[in-house]
Amino acid sequence: MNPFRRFWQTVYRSVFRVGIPKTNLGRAQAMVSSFLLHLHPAKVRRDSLRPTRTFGLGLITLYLFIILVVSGVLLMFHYVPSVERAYDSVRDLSFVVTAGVLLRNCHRWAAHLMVVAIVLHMARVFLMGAYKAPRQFNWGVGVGLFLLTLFLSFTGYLLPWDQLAFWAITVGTSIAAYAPGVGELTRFSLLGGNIVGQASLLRFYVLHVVVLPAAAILMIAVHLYRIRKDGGLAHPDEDQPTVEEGEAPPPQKSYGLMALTESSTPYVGRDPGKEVFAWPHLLIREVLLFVGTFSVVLLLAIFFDAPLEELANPIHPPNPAKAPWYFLALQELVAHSAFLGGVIIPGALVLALILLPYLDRRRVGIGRWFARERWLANGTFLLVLLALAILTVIATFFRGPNWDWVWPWAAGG
Amino acid sequence: MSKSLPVVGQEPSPEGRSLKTGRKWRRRDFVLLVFGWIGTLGSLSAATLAGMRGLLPNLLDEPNQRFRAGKPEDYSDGSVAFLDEIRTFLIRKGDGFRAMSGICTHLGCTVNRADSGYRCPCHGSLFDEDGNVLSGPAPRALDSFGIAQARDGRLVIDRGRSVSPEEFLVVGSGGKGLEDRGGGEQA
Ligand code: HEM
Ligand code: FES
Repeated sequence: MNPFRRFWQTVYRSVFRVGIPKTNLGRAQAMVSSFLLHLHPAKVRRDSLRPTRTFGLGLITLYLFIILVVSGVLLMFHYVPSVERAYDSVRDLSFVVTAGVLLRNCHRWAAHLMVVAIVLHMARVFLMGAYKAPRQFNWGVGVGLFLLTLFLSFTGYLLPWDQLAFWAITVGTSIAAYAPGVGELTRFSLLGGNIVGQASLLRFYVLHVVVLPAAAILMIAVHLYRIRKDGGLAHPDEDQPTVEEGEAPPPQKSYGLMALTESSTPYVGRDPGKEVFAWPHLLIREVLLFVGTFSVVLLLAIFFDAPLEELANPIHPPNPAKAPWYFLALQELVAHSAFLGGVIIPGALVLALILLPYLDRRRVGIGRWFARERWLANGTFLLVLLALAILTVIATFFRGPNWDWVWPWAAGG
Repeated sequence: MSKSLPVVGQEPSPEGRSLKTGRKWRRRDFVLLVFGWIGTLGSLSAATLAGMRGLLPNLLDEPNQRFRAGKPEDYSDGSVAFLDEIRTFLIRKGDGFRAMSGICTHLGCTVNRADSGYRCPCHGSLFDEDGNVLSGPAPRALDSFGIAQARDGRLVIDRGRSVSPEEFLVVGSGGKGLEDRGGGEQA
């Protein structure tokens, strides 16, 4: 072997301990010998890979988050968090920065898509009863990630310092002020004062680019770790009343040493025939899903421009002043009562979500879509989703100036 | 580590018991435990509190509570002027002046003048001429602020002082009202 080739081999081996694996042993070794691959189990259940299982929604959410982090860091090179410069620096992306429009559009559409994806992901976990023991805690981590996603959107909204930004934050922080006891203090410390101004912009900026993403990255790490520690994805085999009511089965490893071989020896509790190697079966799906997600974001970014309204006018709100679509259900609720719609109802919903897996402990309908035994839980969940969807549609299409009811098909509506 | 620290899980000396196994508390174990916890929790919570308190601004870059609105003759009889800086309506009826907040008591949008009264564009709250809620989600009437006349005759709106909407400042025959102490207090 010539010396250059040998040197190259040494370097390559120092980075990638095992090359492209050719044997099953190699495939298993590959998964534990690299940091990124090590997030995966060596083997996964064949049925967990079926698209109709998860629709890849958790992964899509993860990819959107990664796209948001990368495009967000690039945006930070242009954006200035000052009330004098913020708006212009965002507008410059469209007129001065090469591919700046694309960057901004990517960030904006990925953010919207992430809200969609995370809601759908949550819905699929719910409708499959996958939050039950031993996954109660990971469901809770998920609720935390959901709230973080909403806060990230909310804080990001102020940054362009346009009319929508300014009044959405004025209204949003005023809702916080209705919380009993701590409300006024929360509002004051969020804004860094009594009104939306420079202090608020800086605070929201720091929250948006450092505090909340860091928290999200941590929680995503825990979330992914827990999926493996909880024995991979929920599957119908867990749906057995062998375990005593209310008692969590001990976490199973998602693979055992014996399962790495394709021997036909029966092996307690699991059937190697039901499992396949993560390399390549899981990895290829992950790569394809990323390519798909990224393509959708890029296509949206190429064909649709993220809106930028007029410069913020702290004296007069636009009329009507509408929040982004995923907060419109909330806006419709607070238009009836700020305390009930802005504090009590959202608070109760979040509390119900967190407590849910500790209250609903029947070991039925796990890992199956729309299990008939779970009609009550699933029905309730779908009803709440439907109610939120109806409120959103009303607020989007049936509300005109002064939040008056309008018929969208009527002239000028 | 100094020799006097108890070694957890071992018999340190014949006359005493270790923290882990002993049923008998020695004074120095107790002292160590109490001061250890006080020190740890105390320093952590002091640092946390200081860090958090630092996030509450001591100085605000916001308009003063007191706002000089100019001379009475700047406003014609029957006029309703909107003062941008403090988002407040200055209403003149005859020789009487009244200042009413334009900030909606629901969620802080700025209300607009409507045919009779005021309307909030954000969630549609409707207020009458005196700021009372006629309909909509606003929980209470628009605030009315005290007005005074300074020595030089100019009007000073004090947003720190709420008054009833019936209270008008009557100007004209001699400056009644409080002295303009200049500037204003911090909010
Ligand atoms: C940043 C946000 C999130 C990311 C990146 C994420 C990522 C993932 C991924 C990759 C999976 C693997 C299975 C799949 O693709 O569906 C998963 C499963 C899971 N997620 Fe999430 N997730 C997020 C938010 C949430 C939320 C909001 C919830 C619910 C409140 C949740 C609860 C769960 C549970 C319980 C599982 C296990 C499901 C099973 O075993 O079948 N996650 N998550
Ligand atoms: S802010 Fe005025 S009605 Fe909501």
